[in-house]
This record gives sequence, structure tokens and C-alpha cells, in this order.
Amino acid sequence: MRTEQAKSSERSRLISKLLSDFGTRVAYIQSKVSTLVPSQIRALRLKSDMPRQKDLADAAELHQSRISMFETAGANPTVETLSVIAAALRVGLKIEFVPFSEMLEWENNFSQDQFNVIKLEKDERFLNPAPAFGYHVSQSFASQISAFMLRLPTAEPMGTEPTGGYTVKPEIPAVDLINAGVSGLEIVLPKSQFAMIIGGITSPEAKQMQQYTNIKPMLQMEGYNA
Amino acid sequence: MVKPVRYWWFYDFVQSGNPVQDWYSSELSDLGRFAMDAMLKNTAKVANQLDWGARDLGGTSNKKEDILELKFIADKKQYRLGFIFQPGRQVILLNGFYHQQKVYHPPNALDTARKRAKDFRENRASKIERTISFDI
Repeated sequence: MRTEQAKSSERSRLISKLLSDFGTRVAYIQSKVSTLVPSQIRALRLKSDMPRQKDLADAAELHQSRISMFETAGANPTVETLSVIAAALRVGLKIEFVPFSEMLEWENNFSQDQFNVIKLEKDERFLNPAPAFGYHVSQSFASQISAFMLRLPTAEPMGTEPTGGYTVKPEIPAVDLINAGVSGLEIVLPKSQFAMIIGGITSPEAKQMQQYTNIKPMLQMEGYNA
Repeated sequence: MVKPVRYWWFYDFVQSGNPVQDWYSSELSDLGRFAMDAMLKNTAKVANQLDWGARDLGGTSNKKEDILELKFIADKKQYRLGFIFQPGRQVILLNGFYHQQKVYHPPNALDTARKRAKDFRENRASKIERTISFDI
């Protein structure tokens, strides 16, 4: 087994190469994307009502061998083909340029077992969007904050620590949260005690929580309006 | 950085040297090495090996040998890693290769995998852990 020192040295060498060499950067990025995208396709197919490659191929009007290829690590489907597969799986597709750190985090946090996406016919936020009100947090504002903490009504099963009728989630990178589309959530900023932002509120409960926010002056200062 | 849950540990077949690492270092480009690392890193997090997309080495006619292959694509080649399972969620990587039609690179890749699997199972070879780094 390699020592921590050897790992650290290997990491330094890689970073130095990434900083100086265009081809290395291309290869590094391609390896991440072309591993995780096929894995996402496989995950969605296995969880869908067409778990055989042939069924997905029929829905996408592609040959089964191409589905097999697109599920292989390193596959390089075009954006058009990805759109076709997304349409067949009845999900959307988002392609985004991000910092290297975010790409690595995406890779580390990705789990084929857990990856799932709401299908179009069950996507309530798309089918029946609630009128958004509350604070809208822009990317530029989010980028000034390292992380959010979420407090959700305890009815939500995803929390870890119940507190006063709400559940606290571990810290989530601010940018991830904003990208995910904040809706009906109270967001507590660790850097300003119990400060709160509400974005795209969907529940009356969430609206009530707005009363004890003290992020409001900060947001107004930043030029954000309720 | 939070390390993700992993279910599997990968090892290189070792017998007077590490032929898997030698192949990795000498035969793969930067892209190939990154792609193999990323593939193994992702595979280690998939609990059910039936969801890996792995196949029997050399096709289903060789199923009885219990040697499988994982695939990854790089530089327009479909590389394959021959492997066997061992108790304790261990995966022993036997060799790496690619083929175009019936021409294998390196030659006799299937026989090599078979021989190494036999040697390993009969304790004529050992293993060394293939570290999967989550911070690079």
C-alpha cells in the first residue's frame, strides 16, 4: 500500500501537470465526464421501466450496441445523442462548465446506486410550478458563501438531526444548492448566525419562517428584494 | 473532503513483478490512465457487481472460468481488464489488453488472464492493493 507521502507526491505531480499541460487537462476532464455520464445512463436505465438495453435502444431509436457503448466508461457520445437518450429516459440534461474542484467533488459524490432523476410526468416543479417569491439568490452572491445549511420540515426524510420541528442537513456547497434550484427551503448560513434565505417558496410553513430571518438586511444591502 | 462509500477493493496480480501496473504505465496514454482510474473509482462505489456492466472474459462461452472483464474506452480503443473476484469484496486485476477483431494487444491476452487466474488461485502469485485516490 502506498504511503500518504507517496500519494501526496503523486497528487503534486498531477496538479503541476494539469497547470502546465493542455493535453493533460483535456484527458483529465474527459476521463471524469466520460466515466460518470455512462454510469448515469446505466443507473437511469436500471431504475427505469425499460431495464434492458434493448428497450432503451428502442425508445431512443438507436441500436442496442450503441446503448451498450454509451454505458461503457470512456464513451464519448455527442450532445445530440445525449439529448436523444435523455428524451428516451424522460429526463432533462444539463451540461455546465465548473471549477476543477467542483468536477472532482461531482466525481467523488456520484453514486450509480443512488443516482436517480424524476421523470417528466412526475416532475411537479416543471408541470405545476409554484409562483416563486421570496429571495432569489444569484450565483454571484452564492459564490461569496462557502456553504449553506438547510432546515427542512421534519416530514422530509432526508435530514439527520431534528431540531424544533425541522431537520438540519449537513453543509451543502452554496453553488450546488443554487444550481439545484432552491424551492420551499429555509437556508441557514453558517457564516451569519441563523441567517436565512428563502428562495422559490412553495409551502406556507416556509413562508412563516421568513419572519425570523436576519439575512434580510444583508440581502437588501446586496440588492436583493423579497 | 468526505470520502464516498465504497464497496469494492481492487488489487493487482503480482508474480515476480506487477504486470498490471507495468501495462498501465507503458501502454496507456494520459487519457487511458485517467480513464482507467476513473472507471475503477466509479466501479468501487457500485455495490452490486451485476450493475458494473462487466462481461465474461472472451465471451459467454468462457463463463465457467469465472474470469470477467471490465471495459473502458480511451484513444478510440476499447480496453479491457481481466479480473477475478475474491472473498471480502476483493477484485484481482489480472491483465489489461485491447483487441481489434481477433487480434489481441498484447497477444495471447486471454491465455495470459487464464494462466494468471490459475496461478493466483493455486497460490503461485500474490496481490497488491491498487489505491484509488479520491483527492485527485
